[in-house]
Amino acid sequence: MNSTRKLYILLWTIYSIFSLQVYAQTLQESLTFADKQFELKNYRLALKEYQRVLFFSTGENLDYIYSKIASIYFINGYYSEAAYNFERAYKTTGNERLKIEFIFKKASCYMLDKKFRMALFELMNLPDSTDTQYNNRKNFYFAVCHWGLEEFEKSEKYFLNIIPDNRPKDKEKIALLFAKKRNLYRPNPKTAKIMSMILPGSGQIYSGDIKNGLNSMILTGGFVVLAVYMTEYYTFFDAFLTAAPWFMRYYQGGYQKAKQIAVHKRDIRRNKTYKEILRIIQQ
Amino acid sequence: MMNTIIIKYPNSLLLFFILSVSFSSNIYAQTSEDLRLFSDLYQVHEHKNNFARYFKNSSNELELISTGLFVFYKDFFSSQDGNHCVFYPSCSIYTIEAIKKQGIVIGLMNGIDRLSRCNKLSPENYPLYKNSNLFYDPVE
Amino acid sequence: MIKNIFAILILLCIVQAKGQDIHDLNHSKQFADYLFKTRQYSLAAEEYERIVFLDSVNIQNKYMLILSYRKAEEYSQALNRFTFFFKNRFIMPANFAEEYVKLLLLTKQADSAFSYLSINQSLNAELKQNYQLAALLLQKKWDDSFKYAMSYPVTNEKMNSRLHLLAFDAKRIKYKKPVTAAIMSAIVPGTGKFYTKNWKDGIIAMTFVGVNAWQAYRGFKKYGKKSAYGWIFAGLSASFYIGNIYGSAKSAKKYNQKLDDELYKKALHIALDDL
Repeated sequence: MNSTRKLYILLWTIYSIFSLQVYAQTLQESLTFADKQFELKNYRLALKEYQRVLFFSTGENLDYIYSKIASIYFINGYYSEAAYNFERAYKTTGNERLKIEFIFKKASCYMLDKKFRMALFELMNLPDSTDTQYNNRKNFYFAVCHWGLEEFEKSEKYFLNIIPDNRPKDKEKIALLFAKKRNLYRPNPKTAKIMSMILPGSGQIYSGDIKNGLNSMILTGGFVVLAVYMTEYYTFFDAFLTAAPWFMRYYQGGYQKAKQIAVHKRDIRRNKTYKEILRIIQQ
Repeated sequence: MMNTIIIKYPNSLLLFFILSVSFSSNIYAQTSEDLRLFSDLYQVHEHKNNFARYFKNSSNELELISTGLFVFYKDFFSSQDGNHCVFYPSCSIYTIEAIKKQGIVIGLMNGIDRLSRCNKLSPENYPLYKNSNLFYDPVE
Repeated sequence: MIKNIFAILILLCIVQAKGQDIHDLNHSKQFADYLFKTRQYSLAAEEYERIVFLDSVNIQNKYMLILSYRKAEEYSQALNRFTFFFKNRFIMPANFAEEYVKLLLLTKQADSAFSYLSINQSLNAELKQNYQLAALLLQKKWDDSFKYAMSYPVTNEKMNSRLHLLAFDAKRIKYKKPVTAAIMSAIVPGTGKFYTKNWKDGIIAMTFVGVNAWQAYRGFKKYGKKSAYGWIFAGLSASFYIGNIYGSAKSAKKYNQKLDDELYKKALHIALDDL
């Protein structure tokens, strides 16, 4: 090989490397710019710039970019788009630790969207490990999911797993919170409904809403009085025609409302219990 | 020149490495962030109807009386009927708004007509309101 | 010699560096097209905005910019761009003129669209006639539309034939008279709603008035004029009777409105084609 040819090859190599480098640099610049916009919470622009990097990408940093795009959607409350992009990040990364992180992220998207079955499905993909912190996090996600599905026994198991064995008192506290029925199952919507079917208003009072209970009682009672009065002065047929539709309307409405109130009050208690559990865990 | 190029080249790799590490550092880091993320997940929202606001716009006594009747109806009767009305806005709110807009005579006629249309028989006549299964029929 | 080669190399590198900048015109164009294709029209419009700034000569980019704005439903932005791009809007290229007309139709300026088309010089005659017919239909001038449709030939072309059909439909449109509906309901409750084809509402109104009247009759029959029962039901019956008269007139108006809206929607759909 003569020296001129060698020189040309060398020059060509340098040239190619350099031009690649320039390309990479402008990509890198765009990425840095996108990151900066992300940091500044300028999400619309960041989303566009990340997509630009992705569009011209030579295959580097894909997982990072997808995760950033997903984060933008996540922060702005578009959970299904976020989950979709975390999925793409999961598929493009070769890093095992990142894979785990993306599974958690996907699960949290579904959880915030209240799709707990989907979240559980994602969490099943998490590998086993002996790392305590990792296991705690995993247990926490499982516990929250089962709570959302009203599977409190499973939820309790996972919450208890988080508390280390050297804190028996806290374990006891949580077990106690789950053991007390009034924390999770009271007032019982079914009971409230049946009570109001037997005596209008009683279900509401049982659920702790005295105003609505009395309201329902007086209203349905009023139509009963009207019916009695009508039967007295006119005929039973007239009483039926006049009072029955109204009575039925408020009677049915009453026991449906009793159930709604019970669900509402029960959910308030559940939320209080849930927050109490989180407080114990946080310590 | 060659040196500078070769030193420069791994920059992006290095950056990638730094980025990867920086956002993988919290993988095992539990849960304080997660606790915050999910702490309000089961928050129960109270929503209260403020019908008294209709009093504020009443310009004469007749309107005041009809508004008073309306608020009484809303509080005492309508709150107990298990959401029978098929429309959005509901018949009573429609009536009160019709009275405000068209005056007491036309408004009342409009409201009574609305009441007689309050059934599920004619879904073809109305669009649905947002994500509910209520018919959308505002005062025009 | 080596010095010379290095000089060339450096020059090449500079050229290359320029060519590979992903923010340059060529790359931005590719990226904007990608955003447009993935239906992120608002972001695409931003990108085209930059491209047009970098290259103020290329007319296709300007077209894409306006198209992106329209697809992103930012109509006022789109219309605004015409003032910057063209001094004389009557001789701008055909695709721009078409886009301009579409935007006018979308922003409920069908009358302006009509007069614009009569002066415009870039669109071909048939297209102009089609859009003018659409503009008349979108102003809900049914008779004028029909006359206009008769004034130029029907062809096999999609837009032409569809608009002609619509103009014929518009000619045949049969409104219901609110007064007739009200009078019918005043004579026999509920029949005004039958007239406007609201059968079910009519039957219910009839029942409401009828049952309440019957109950009032029973009350009066038993206790005479002193019957509270009778008066209450008489009041209810009367209320429903009067309400139904108003409701029948309203029902006729709504019926007509619905007919108009359907034609309007169809006309807009044909005029925009791609919506």
